[in-house]
This record gives sequence, C-alpha cells and structure tokens, in this order.
Amino acid sequence: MEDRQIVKLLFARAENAISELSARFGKQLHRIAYNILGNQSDAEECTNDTYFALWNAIPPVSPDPLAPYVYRTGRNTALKRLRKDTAQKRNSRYDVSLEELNNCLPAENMDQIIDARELGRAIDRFLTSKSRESRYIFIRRYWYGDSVGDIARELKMQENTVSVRLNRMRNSLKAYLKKEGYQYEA
Amino acid sequence: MRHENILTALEEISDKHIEEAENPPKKRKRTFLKAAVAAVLVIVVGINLLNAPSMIMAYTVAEASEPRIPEHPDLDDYEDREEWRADVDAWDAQYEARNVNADQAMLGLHSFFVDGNSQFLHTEQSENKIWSPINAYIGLAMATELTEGETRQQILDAFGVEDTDELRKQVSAVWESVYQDRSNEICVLANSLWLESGLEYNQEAMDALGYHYYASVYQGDLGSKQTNKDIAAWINNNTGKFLKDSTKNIQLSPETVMALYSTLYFQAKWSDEFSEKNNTDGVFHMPSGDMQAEYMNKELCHMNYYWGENFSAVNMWLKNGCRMWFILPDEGMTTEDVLNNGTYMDMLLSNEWENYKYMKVNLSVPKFDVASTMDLSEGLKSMGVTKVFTEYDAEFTNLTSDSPIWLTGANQSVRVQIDEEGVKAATYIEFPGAGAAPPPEEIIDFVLDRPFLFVITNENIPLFAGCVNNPEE
Repeated sequence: MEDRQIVKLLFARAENAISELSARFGKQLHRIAYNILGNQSDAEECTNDTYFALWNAIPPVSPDPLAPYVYRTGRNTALKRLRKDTAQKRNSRYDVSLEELNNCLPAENMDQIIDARELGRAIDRFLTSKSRESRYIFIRRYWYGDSVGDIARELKMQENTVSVRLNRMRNSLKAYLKKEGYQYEA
Repeated sequence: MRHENILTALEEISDKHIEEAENPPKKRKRTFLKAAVAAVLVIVVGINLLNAPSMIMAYTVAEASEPRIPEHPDLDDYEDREEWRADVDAWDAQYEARNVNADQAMLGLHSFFVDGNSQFLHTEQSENKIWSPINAYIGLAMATELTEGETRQQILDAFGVEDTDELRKQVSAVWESVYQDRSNEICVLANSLWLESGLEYNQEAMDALGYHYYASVYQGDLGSKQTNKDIAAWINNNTGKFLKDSTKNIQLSPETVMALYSTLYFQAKWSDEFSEKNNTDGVFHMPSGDMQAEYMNKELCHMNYYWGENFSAVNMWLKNGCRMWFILPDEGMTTEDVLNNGTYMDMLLSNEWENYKYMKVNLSVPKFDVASTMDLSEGLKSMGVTKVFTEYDAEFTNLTSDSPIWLTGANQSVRVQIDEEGVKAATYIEFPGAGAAPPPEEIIDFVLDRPFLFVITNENIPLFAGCVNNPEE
C-alpha cells in the first residue's frame, strides 16, 4: 500500500491502518528500537507504542513524506524509553555509536557554546555533498543506530570496509566543521 | 559533547536523507517501475530460408557491456588526496570527451531528425503519431556493424559520419549521455539482436555490438512461440512493461532470420508538479471535431516563452535534467506546417535561438496517454536509406555469408504518458499577427487546446517527438 493511502486510512480512523503501518514500517521500526534499547521485548513494546503515537498524531498532522515522520517517531519513542530506564542508559549499543560520532564533533567549553541544531544543519549539509553510499553508511550508523555488521550485510561489503569508510567520513566531517568555524581542542 | 546534544543535532538530519537511507543504494540494476515514456524499435530481417537449420534452443551470443560510466571519485574513498585528484582529472577528461562525441553526433544527425519528424509525425485527422529519434538512430546504427558496401554507406551518410569507428564512438557517447537508472529517474536505451538458430555469424561483429552499442545478441528459433515469448520478455524487462499491450502480440514470421530490437525506457517527474486540484475539464479542438479533455493547469509560472515563424513553445523541466517541449502552431497553421518548416529544431538543438522571453505564463496542458506503432521503413527509404531494405541486394555480409538477407521493416512502438506528477507540457499562446515577433504582454495564456507537437530532450538529444491530435486516443 502506498504511504499516502496509509495516511488516508489514519485520517479515516480505519482499523486496518495499524496493520498497514506494521506491514510497511514494522521491520525498520523494530530495528531502530532494538538498536537503541538493545533487547527484543523492549523493542517490540516500543514499536507498538510508536503505532499508538502515530495513531494519536495523525490526524491532525498529515506528514508527507510519511516514512521519515514514522522513523522519527519510532526513534524518539525509543530514546524516551531509554532515558527512563537509567540502568540501561549506558549499555545501549546506540550509545557506542554516539560516542564514536562524538569523537569527531567540536567540544563544548567556556570559549565555545554550541547550538546543537545549527551543528545538526551543518552535518546535514556535509552529508548532501557525499555520495549516496557514503551517506547511507553514515545515517544508518548514527541515525538509525545500525551495527557495522548490519550495514556491511546490507551493502554486501566486508565489516572492515564499512569501519574504514566510517572512519574516513568522521575525519572528513571534522575537517568540514573546522572550515565552518567550529573549534577543536588541540 | 553531551549525548543529549548530539541527539538534538541529529534531529536536524533532513527527511530526504532519512528516507533515502531506508534502503541500501542499488548497484546499477534495471528497475521495473511504471514508465512514463517508452519506445521500441523493431527491425525485422527477412530471408529466403529454404534450408533453414532446425531450432535447438536460444542462447546468448554476446552480452551487452555494463555501462561504462564511472561514478565521480569520492574523497572519502581515498587515503591519498593526490591520488583522488588524479582520478578526478581522469574522470573530467572522460566526461568531456563523451560530451564532445555526443555533440558531434547531434550535429551530424540534425537533418536526420528534422526529416524524420517530418516523415513520421505526418498525421491523419484524429490520430496521434510518436517516434523516438534516438531509438531509431541507435537501431539503424547497429545495422552498420552487420553490413558492408553501399548498404552501410547509406546509413553512415544519413547520420553524417565518415566511418564505423566514428559512429561507434558517437553511439557509445550518446548512450552514456542519456543513461540514467535511479528509482524515479530512468532513461535507458537497450538493444538486442536475435539470430535464427544455426545462422553462421561473425563473432567479431557481435562483440562490437555488445561493446559499442550496449547490445545483447541471442540466437533461437525465430518465429517459434518460445522465442516470441523471449523477445516480449526482453522488451518488457527493458521498458518496465510499459509496452506490454504491444509486446503480447509479437509474432515473428518463420522466414525471419534476424531481428533487431532497440528500446528506450524513460521515466521522470516534473521539477514542479501540477496539482490535481487545479485540473479542469475543457474542449480540445481536434481536426475532426471537438472533444472533452482534462487539463492540468498552472497559473503565472515563471518560464521562458519561445516563438518562431509559425509556432510558439514552452518547455517544462523534469527532475532528471531532461525537458519536455510543447510546440503549438500559430492560429491558422497546422502541425504539418511547423514540421515542414523545420526551424523549431534549431530552437530545440542549438543554444543560439534568440526568440524567447522570460515571463509569467498561465499554462494549460491536456493530460494524455498516447501510443503509436508504425513502420519507419518507407520514411527511411525516402531519407536515402534504401539498400538495406532491398530484397536480395542488401549487403548483410558482415553478419553472415549465409543466404542473402534484407530488412523487411523497421517497426517502432512508442507510448508517452503525462500526468500531474510526470512529464510536462506546452501550451498555446494567442499570438496576433503570427510570425517572428515577440509577445506583447508580460503575462501570457498558453493553452494547448488544439493539435500540438511535443519533444522530450536530454540536453540537445531528442529522445521522443510526437504530434497529439487526440489526447484521449
């Protein structure tokens, strides 16, 4: 079913809207939730919570395109759940990937207060200048929270190749942000 | 940075990047989406086959080369910046050489396209005619690899090239220039040659077709149910099944010993789509009488408005960088008059056309889905390509030294469809006085409510040209 039709079903409050959401986005939503929460049962619950959140949000919201909206909702739902569960907070594999990314981002200190949203827009511009494949690797790793192994399987590459590509992307991002005026500690 | 801040930053990643990363990028693979435009050129060769060898099974004689279009080097893939720079320079040089060859090809083909439009878009009262100039060019160019002597020379002359080496370079350059194969933007020329089972062939010529013309060569029992099915499947695979109404009836006669197929599959969305809610119903004035048509409308779009001796035109950009031109004859003139005059082609293919003005246009274009199948052979003959069709006299000697072979036809099936999302139109301007004078107002109504011409171009390469007399044929 096309995404627009799913939105129509949600607007019509049709019962099959949830099953259509699940058929179209279930696999990816579960993957995002699992990447962030790190266990199957939590991921399953989180995915169901996401459908509920979408059912409540649409209408009045009429997202077009639908897919990024659904994934953002799923990701935020998982992150909220992670924050609540302090015991898990530093155990998620998503934290590992965030830490990896942190190594190439500018540090906040007394001399530099960073507007996170502005930084995000700079990262987005940087990604636009990259090849489709490089972008895929970066976004799957740091936005969707995929493991290096999962990305390698999807692209039919060696894990090592993906790791090397990610490393180069991070170095390249650091160079780009420096040019944009961000300061790094020596 | 704190993780919370990193998460906030990542929220700014744009929708298009998140959506794009939903699925891994495809490795240059054919896609089979619904097409907006497609064409197939079929050239069938007949022979006196008293001693036809018996059929065994179809197999691949030569495979089409993979596209020789390297991606632009990405710095992230390199350890050494100098190495990257050297590769970028090599990439630029290759790109430039391809453009030079493609431009050269278009110069030589100018009269082939003008004459072809005039020959093939000639219409009766209410029928539509469409052909694909580039598809006919590549289909016929393939025949030069199979022929010799005057037969080959006539084709080279029609294309304005010296020899087959030059033609090979130009065909490859044109093929690579138009090639696009992304999810919603497709422009793929595909070629194939089908040989009767048992026909002795020149492998060198087959390999040349595979490499320079991106053609696949198969051998099978031509005329058999199985091979008819294979050919239909090949065309369907290469045109996103957009021509399945035409291909289901493919039936080569048992006398056929060789068939050439050349397809062009094109799909693209408008850069600026029409909104369905602005559609209106209105009258379209066919030569044979009025009919109702559904019009897509845009108010006050900023665009170039073009004019010539007996026509006006606008063009709409497509997201893949191609353009669709809509050419409307002035009041009192016909599409035939515009075609015979031929100057519209200068507007399409040269960068020196001066009669245009950037202005606000109220555009009204009928939705259409038109198809046309025709045999180009008579038209090609009148354009000087005769010998290849002459019984017992065509020199297909570079293909085989078996019995004499000649072309029995050059059938082309084309279908073009436009709607709110994809492939756009031109509209008619009320232009008092006709002739080459600029438009009087800053805002102009361009309403395509009577027979008009359209041409889809990629840079200066005409992919499709058509005459619409009836939008709902």
